[in-house]
Amino acid sequence: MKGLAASSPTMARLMPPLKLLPGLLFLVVFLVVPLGLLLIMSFWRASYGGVEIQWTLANYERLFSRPIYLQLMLKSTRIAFTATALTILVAYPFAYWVAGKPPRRRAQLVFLVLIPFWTSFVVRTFAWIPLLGNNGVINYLLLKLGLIAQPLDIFLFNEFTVQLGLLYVYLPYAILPILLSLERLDRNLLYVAADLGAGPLQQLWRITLPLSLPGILSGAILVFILSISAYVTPALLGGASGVMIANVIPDLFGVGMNWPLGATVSLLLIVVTIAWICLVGLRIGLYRIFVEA
Amino acid sequence: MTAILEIADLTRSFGSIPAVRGVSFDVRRGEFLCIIGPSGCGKTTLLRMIAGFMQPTSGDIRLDGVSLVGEPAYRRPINMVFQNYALFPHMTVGQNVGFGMEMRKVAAEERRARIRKTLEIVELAGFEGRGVSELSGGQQQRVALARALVLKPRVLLLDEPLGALDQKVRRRMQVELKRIHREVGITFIHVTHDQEEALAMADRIAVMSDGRIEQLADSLEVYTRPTTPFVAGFVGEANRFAGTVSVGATGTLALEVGRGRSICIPVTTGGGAGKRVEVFVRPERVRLAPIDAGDTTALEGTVRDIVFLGESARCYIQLDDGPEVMATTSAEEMTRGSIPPVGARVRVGWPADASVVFPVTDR
Repeated sequence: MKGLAASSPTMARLMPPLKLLPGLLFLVVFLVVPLGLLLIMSFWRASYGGVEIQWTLANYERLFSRPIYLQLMLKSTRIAFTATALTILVAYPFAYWVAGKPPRRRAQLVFLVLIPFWTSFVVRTFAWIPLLGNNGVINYLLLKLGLIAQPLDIFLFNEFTVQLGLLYVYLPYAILPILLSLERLDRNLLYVAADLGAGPLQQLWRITLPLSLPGILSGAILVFILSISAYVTPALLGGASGVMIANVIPDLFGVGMNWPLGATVSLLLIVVTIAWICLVGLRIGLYRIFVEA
Repeated sequence: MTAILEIADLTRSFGSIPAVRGVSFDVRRGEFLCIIGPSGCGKTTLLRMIAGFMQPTSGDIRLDGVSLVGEPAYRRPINMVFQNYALFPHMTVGQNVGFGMEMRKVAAEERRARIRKTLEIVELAGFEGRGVSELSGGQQQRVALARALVLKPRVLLLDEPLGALDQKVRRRMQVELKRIHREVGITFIHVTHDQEEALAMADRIAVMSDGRIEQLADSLEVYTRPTTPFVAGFVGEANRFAGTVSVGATGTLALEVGRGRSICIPVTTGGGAGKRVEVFVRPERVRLAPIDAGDTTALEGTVRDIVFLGESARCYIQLDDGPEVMATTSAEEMTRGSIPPVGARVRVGWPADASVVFPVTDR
């Protein structure tokens, strides 16, 4: 009896880690190991066509001495920011409109939002080319209407096209959390605000918007993370001027045959992304953004 | 006493279902008016029309003679305290109270002074910087009250403001609300389904049922002289006897209550023989006594149950010739042992003026 009594607290101490084991295993296999490999490789030396297991800081020197990588990182951040801002600007009014509908209608509209997910991401992105291209629908219409004499090539293969493409594919990721936070908003608060003299605009600005901020931020963070590391969208719609950082990483691993540098650039992308999340998280609190919304 | 608010033939329907049907009444300047009724009687709809959240289907609402119909809520000098407080969770107590003044572009300095003064009135002095989630239910209710009072509305509407509070806090807030009402001198219209709360606070009570006002009178009058059977049954506890008058002797009414049984009830006014009537008697007017030999006129029965309520006790007596009767006695009587025990045979009686008689009208 004594032995049992003594061992049960020990058991109790051991139990929580045991319960966590499947989760920990998952994290180790899918997160710690790949990232660890990436980190280790970033300190190895690239040899012609392969990797030499020899510790060096050469990859980091190259990352910071060649302007191309940092410039691309900066540009990717800028594109992701703009794309995120545009996405929220489109998503918010839509979510606001949907939130005002009766539940049945709301479910139908959410269903419509999710329909694009049924087709491949690549196909959806590709669909913009026949729309925006030189022989595309928009140019065709403008020509037919007599508004232009020559097809315009301003629609495709530039930064804006990339932003448009990102907005299009990631819009649902912004709509859903915003809609959730708007649905949770207590309608009585708007009645109170009206009662206290707030007109429709002031109700939106002072009550609805601040209280749906967690939804806006979690939507924005999702879209930002997806956008800053976008590969398919800039590859298909970006052309030469719309290249983003994620486009050079496969090149370094593939054609460039420089795995260590590829690993280093990958780490740069990861660190910058995490830094942005932390910055927002510090100001607002990650709990509020991800759990409340 | 002049009217500050005139409600004239006000009607509101939802589709083809009327919620408020042609209601007319005046609200006196500075009074504490309670609107009571069971849920679904239209009292909240009426309040929402006065607040401006809902427009009437027909009829008029006049504030100091000026019609409010068509004016949105945010342009009416009327404020409302909501049932669930509905404080803005992203603002401090001070910001909540100051919100209305901000909307009215009151200067920051005056705003601060008025927030401070109003928080003092609701006994939350110094709470300006607190977050609303740190407050108890009673404190949140005070903030909600301050938020409306600070705007000095001409009429303050209260929609079941104490509904979410527990019994003790509720009792205290009833007294508090009355004190605040006296202190600020604003007209209060308070909606509740709790008739006890209405009796405790109101100057006048409007009893609503089925979209209409059944009676609007002083609290005491509504309680002692209800004008309709609905009011008699809804406000306070009451014994109800229904039947056909068989003998209309002076001072008593012989009532056939079915199956050939009849009971003799003391009344001041009666009905002619053959009339169908309802009689209401408050349980606290009912007296119990041991049976004396040779006593023949009074009602007799057996004590079925005694429910102790703390300050009082309620006895349920099964009459020999008819229905069950409730009688309320004080705790003092109980401790003196002057209440007959369960199973005892008792004589049941009450003064004639305790009987409120209504003729039954066939609807």
